[in-house]
Amino acid sequence: MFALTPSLQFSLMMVVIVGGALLSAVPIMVMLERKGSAWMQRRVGPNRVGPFGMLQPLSDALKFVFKEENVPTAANKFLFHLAPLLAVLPPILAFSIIPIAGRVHLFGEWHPVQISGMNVSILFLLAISSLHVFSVLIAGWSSNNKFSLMGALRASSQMISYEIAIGLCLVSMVLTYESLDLREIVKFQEAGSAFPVWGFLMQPLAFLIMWICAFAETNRLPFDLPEGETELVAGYHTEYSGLKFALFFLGEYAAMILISAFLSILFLGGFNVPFVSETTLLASFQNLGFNLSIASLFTSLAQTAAFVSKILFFMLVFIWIRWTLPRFRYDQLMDLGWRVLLPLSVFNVIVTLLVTFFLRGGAL
Amino acid sequence: MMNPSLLQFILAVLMIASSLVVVFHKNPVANAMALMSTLFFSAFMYVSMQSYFIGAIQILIYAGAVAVLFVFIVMLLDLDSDQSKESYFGMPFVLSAILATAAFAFFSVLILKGGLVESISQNSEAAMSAKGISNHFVSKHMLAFQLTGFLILSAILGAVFFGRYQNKALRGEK
Repeated sequence: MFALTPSLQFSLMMVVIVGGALLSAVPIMVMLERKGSAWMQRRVGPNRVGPFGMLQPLSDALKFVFKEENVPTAANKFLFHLAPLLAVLPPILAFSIIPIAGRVHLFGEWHPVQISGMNVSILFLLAISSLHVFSVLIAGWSSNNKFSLMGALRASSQMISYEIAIGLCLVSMVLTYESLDLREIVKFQEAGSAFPVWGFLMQPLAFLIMWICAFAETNRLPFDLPEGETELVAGYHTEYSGLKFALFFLGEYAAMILISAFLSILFLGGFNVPFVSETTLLASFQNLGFNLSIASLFTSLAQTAAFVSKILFFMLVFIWIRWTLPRFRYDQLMDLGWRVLLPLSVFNVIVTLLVTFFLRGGAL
Repeated sequence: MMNPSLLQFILAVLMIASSLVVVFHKNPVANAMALMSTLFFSAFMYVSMQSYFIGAIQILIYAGAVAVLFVFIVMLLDLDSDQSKESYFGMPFVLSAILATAAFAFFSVLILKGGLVESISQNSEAAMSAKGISNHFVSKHMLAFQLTGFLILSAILGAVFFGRYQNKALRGEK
């Protein structure tokens, strides 16, 4: 029924590579977070399991698997089991349209290095990641626990409020790039001359607003009120234990990686290697004596390295901010979202509209 | 006219099943969740017809924002599952049944008469892209577009009015 065309083969290969990389990046990030927090607080951090405690994530995973799972008797069983799945699914699904690198020449054809592409991938990404709210809401409600419900309500109102500012920033970014396709947005930022035209140079205000909103969207400190330990025990996942809790954990970190990837595509040029364009890279690898396939493979590897290091930058800032700033009060959080970020992003959209209008000659 | 594929049949069945859950399940949260999945499947239906833009917008606005607000409000009000659905087959049920049948008959007649599906599939090239849709909005359907904007604005004003009015009443009682 289905023909296994070269492009389909390549897509399947990318599913394995990207999925594997994403899932194995999560334990590494957890380890980095624990070590980083330890260094910031002048502690040693985990150092017992393996050399320098590097095998700690492995033992954590084993612990999650073997821990007893506790389902509250008064919980809504179906939704209680569904919520952790919904926490993991959207961020991983959304990774299918993230462009990882440029093009690679395999099986006698050029393939864009990403699982699948579409012409409205920004909207797809926004749509899929807006489904993340449901896992939090369902988890909080189905646990039949007052703390969980409070956490869920806080989380959903926070995520909905900050999504508006993110959406408006995206409007101004789309106006700047004149495309809804993430790959074309990355292409736009490719080094043409000596100076890279990266998003944060063209839209510094949108960059700042989206960066702040990224913290609120992923429920990270200083906006982690849905899980505020001192008030709500653990918020919406209070009643979860064992592997189900691990799934929430996985979903949270996958969402952080996703939004870091999104920020680096929009503002830091995505997979573009700074100051070098894709054709120059490819040509220089070919000059070293490699054939077209190998040279394009090396080019995309270099681009992937650039992309991963940009993601890593945002992840490190996530960790750094978490262990630096105290938690906001709830009214402060809502004030910041509705009275500061929303008007600022509306202002940014209007300015962007005017600037693009006049840059195009002021005619329709 | 294109023949529907197997995937579209499965999606249609899932859509109808989850919309039945919306109407007949006793638990308000389950109703709202089923509404979400109905919207989600309809978005997939659009995607299966190559209309990525409409599909993405459907998930973004309806499943991602409107349905979330429904769930949120149901949870906030803590609706009791028993009392909300006591009179199932009362006047509202009869009225909505009549309306639904009328709408179904209307669309069946339109489709059976032919022409509607053809005109839609002719425009599908334009419907696929964001540019095509926005061109339609600012040229052919400008008036409807603006009127919808006014409708939404008046709804916002109404909501603000009711919100302020209720707060004042609460303050007056105190």
